[in-house]
Amino acid sequence: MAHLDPVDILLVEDNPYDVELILRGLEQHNVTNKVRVVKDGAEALDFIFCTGAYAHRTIGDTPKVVLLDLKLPKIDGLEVLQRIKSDERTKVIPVIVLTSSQEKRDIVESYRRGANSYMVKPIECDQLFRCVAELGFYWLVCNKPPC
Amino acid sequence: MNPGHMTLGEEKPRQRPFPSVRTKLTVYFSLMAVAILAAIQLTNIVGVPFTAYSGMQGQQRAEAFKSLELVADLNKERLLRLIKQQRDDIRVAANNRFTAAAVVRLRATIRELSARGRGGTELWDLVRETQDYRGLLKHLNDFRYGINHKLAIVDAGTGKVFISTDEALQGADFSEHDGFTGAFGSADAYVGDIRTGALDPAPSLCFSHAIRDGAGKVVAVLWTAVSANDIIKPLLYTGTGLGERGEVLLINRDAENLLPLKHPLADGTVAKPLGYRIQAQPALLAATGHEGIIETEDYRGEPTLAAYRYIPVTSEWGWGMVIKRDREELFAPLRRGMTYSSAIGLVGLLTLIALIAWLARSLTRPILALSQTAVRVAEGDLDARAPVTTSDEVGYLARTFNLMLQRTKERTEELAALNKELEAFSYSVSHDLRSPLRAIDGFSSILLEDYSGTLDAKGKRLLNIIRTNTQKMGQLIDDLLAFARLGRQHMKLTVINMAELTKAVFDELASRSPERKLELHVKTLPPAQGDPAMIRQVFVNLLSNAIKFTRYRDPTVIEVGHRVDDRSSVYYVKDNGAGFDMQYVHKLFGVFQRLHTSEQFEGTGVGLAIVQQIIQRHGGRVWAEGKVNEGATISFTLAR
Repeated sequence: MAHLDPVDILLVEDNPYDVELILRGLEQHNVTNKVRVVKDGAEALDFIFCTGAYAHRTIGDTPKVVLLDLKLPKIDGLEVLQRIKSDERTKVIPVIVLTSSQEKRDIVESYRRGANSYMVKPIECDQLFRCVAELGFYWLVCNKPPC
Repeated sequence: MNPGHMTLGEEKPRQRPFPSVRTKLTVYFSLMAVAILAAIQLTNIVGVPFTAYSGMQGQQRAEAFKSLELVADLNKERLLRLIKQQRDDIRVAANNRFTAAAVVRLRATIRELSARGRGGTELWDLVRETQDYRGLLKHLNDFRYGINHKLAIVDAGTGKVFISTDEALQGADFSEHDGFTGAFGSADAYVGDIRTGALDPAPSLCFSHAIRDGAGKVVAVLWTAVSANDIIKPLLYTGTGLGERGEVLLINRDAENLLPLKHPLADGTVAKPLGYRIQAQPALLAATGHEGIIETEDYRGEPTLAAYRYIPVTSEWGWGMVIKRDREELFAPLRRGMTYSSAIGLVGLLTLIALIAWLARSLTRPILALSQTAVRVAEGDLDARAPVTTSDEVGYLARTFNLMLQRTKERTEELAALNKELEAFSYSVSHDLRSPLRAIDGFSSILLEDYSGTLDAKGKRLLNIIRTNTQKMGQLIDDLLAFARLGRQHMKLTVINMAELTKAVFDELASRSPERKLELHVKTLPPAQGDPAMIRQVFVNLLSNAIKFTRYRDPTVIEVGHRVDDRSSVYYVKDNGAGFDMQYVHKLFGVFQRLHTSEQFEGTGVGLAIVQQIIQRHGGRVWAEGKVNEGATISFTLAR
């Protein structure tokens, strides 16, 4: 397992088909390297806070960006977001909410808990690919992270 | 729950009602009580207009005059009877034959004794010894009434008294007395007015009658004096009906008082009989022969009620009599009664006002409590209940009000639960329904891309149909969610510049179809009250519809205008596009209702349903008019 590899993108997504499509979208635009996929909120928190299966990681190895789905098994996306943003060590990590929901309360609540961006996954796959690619490009290339 | 649903026309009745029912009740009933009390008191004082009742004071005055007149008539009759009786008595006594004979014999005896040289007290001592003297004296004493009634027989020749019931008068000279001289001329009795003289120092009334001998010659005069003070005054004294300060005045022709006055004069002196000339009007009237009643000032200057009568002592002259009583004294009990009844009335009135105020308060307090409950409920406290303090109508109202609140609470909870379910439903739709669609579209696309070499044209077409329908389904879900969200959205009302909004929306929409030649006519659009985002959505939907349905028109003309219909502000969007058949107009605003096929014009049929919902939430109406191939006009009303 490549657990010690540095991770640029942490993708938190339970739907394997969505994972495949997002990865394909990133791949098409050559930003596929260093992506780590976790299937639920608990695993995401384990990864970020170096607990459980990820206890061997060091917390300073933060991903450059987290792509977070809201509807997740075990611990939902909003809770994960809150935990990341309320911890001094992790609050600087940019978190982009990437979800199917267009509900206003999801959008507002996400920003309130410190999301750096909110993106609705389009149904049409061409649009999805474009969105994901632009997102990767922006956060990994254009954006200057704090660490 | 979203309490912001009642933003339109919301008003909180925080202020207490004024003027309140309580104030009005108290004021009206108090005024009524005051009016009734005043009417009763006024009736007592001045009487009832246009009726015989002249008030208690008037009534009492009339009765006082009646009793004064009664006393006056009674006294007049008594006086006249006394005078007549005296005259009759003296006539009978003087005309008595035995008396006359005894007088003649006694005169002869006196003359004989005088001739013998007897005189002075010796003479009278001798005369008293005679038989005739004793007989006459007994006769005179029989006529005498009481101790103050004097009788005397005067010798016609010498003018001297030779026999009297008052021994002191024996020998007194009566030659100058009018009682003596007056008796000679008349065959009847002579009456001399009340006076004081040397013979009768107390004021007295004198009667006299000539005594004749057998030949008709006057031999002597029978004289009698009635003391005014002791005989007439008690006769006139009634003791009742005149009060403490009432008085009977008897005056002679010169208006001099014949009886002692009861009250001191204005200067403090007490007038003696025949010592004062009364100047008061009733006295002067009575003395000059008038009779009647009058209310005026008496000799003291005191206001009095008086009855005055003329007493004809003889056919030539008479007295005046005034029966009077003090007005002050007469009305004093009435005034006292009025004062008491006013005081009692006032106390009653104050009690009544307090009672009314209390009653009004107890009546309105539960109503106020009820409206306070209503205010609390309006502010969102659905558990507030009106206190039920009475079992009357207001208590019944409070109970039914509470029942209504209970139902309202249940309904609200039901609605809240329903709304929550709906929210959960659409949330779930939003999250879960889109993912499989995305997978279908995504993997179809991957299939087309990665296996283009092995797929023939038919297979590619079928995959494209799958993709198209998937995307359409996604659009349907998005529109449906947008429509469902609308009902739960909170409205923020501001004034919207409709002309600016129209142009901004149109420019944005037009920029998406640069190939179209679009003409927009914006007429004068007054500003409207509404939620800016929602009204923007209305224009987006209406203008995009207009642009869509004019696709096959050249030139495309879209008109946005305003008019006032029936005092409501009407905005409309008109196009010259495909239009519609008016017989399907009722389907236009239904969700997913379409009048055109997808091949002709794309769309999900949610746009106008959203427009209708937004306008209805603003309290307005929306309707459509159209004709096939000529265009459509969508109109809606909005508050200014």
